[in-house]
Amino acid sequence: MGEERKPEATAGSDAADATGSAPTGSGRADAPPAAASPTAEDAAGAPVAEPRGVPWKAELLAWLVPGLGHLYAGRWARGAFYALIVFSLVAGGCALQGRLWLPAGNPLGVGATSALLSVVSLGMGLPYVVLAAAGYRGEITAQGYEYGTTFLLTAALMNLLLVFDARDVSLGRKR
Amino acid sequence: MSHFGLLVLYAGAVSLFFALLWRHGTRDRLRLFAQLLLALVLGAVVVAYLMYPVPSGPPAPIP
Repeated sequence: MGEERKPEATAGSDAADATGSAPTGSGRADAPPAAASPTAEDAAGAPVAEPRGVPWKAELLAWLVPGLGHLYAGRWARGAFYALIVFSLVAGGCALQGRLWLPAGNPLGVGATSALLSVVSLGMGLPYVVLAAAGYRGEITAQGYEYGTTFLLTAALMNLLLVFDARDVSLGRKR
Repeated sequence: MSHFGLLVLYAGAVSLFFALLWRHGTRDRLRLFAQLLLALVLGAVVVAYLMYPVPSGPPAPIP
């Protein structure tokens, strides 16, 4: 992709590499305190790129509209691809008359599975709200019902992953 | 669209998503995309053949 950059050797990753064989950093008397005693969490969360934007805004935008969090964090091409994938799955799921899981109005009653899948479906963000408000429910007798339901649930789960990814990009933990 | 066509479409979307999410660089992404697509499609075909002798039973009632 055009937006990709070469991995940068930042101070954080240098510190993580330098202390790989000596986690406590006790052998380096001249090292600053922060680099002298890094924890495993510090090494895992070390920035590999320039932080971009405010993390919570990236998360919120990523949840509301698939791909928007990455656009906000400056990853235009990736955000556009993510939006294309998630919206295609949502459109495909609706075309196949897949089920939109809602907290209420379930003809089989509200069980644990129904509640869990409703929460998962909320991960779709604004498309879920729009579809629910438009009265879309899916058609259980439709030929593509099972596939459509799978498409819709997968789109929601993908968008939840994108929320975490947008946060990592915004924090500079991921390129 | 046929059942297999939908299966391939779904596998393609999932493979593309995770190739973009987990890899950097066009070459690595294409490789992971191909691996995931093959694994999903061939895995589904293998599981389908393994399930072939298993009786499906009567159809579920429509509420």
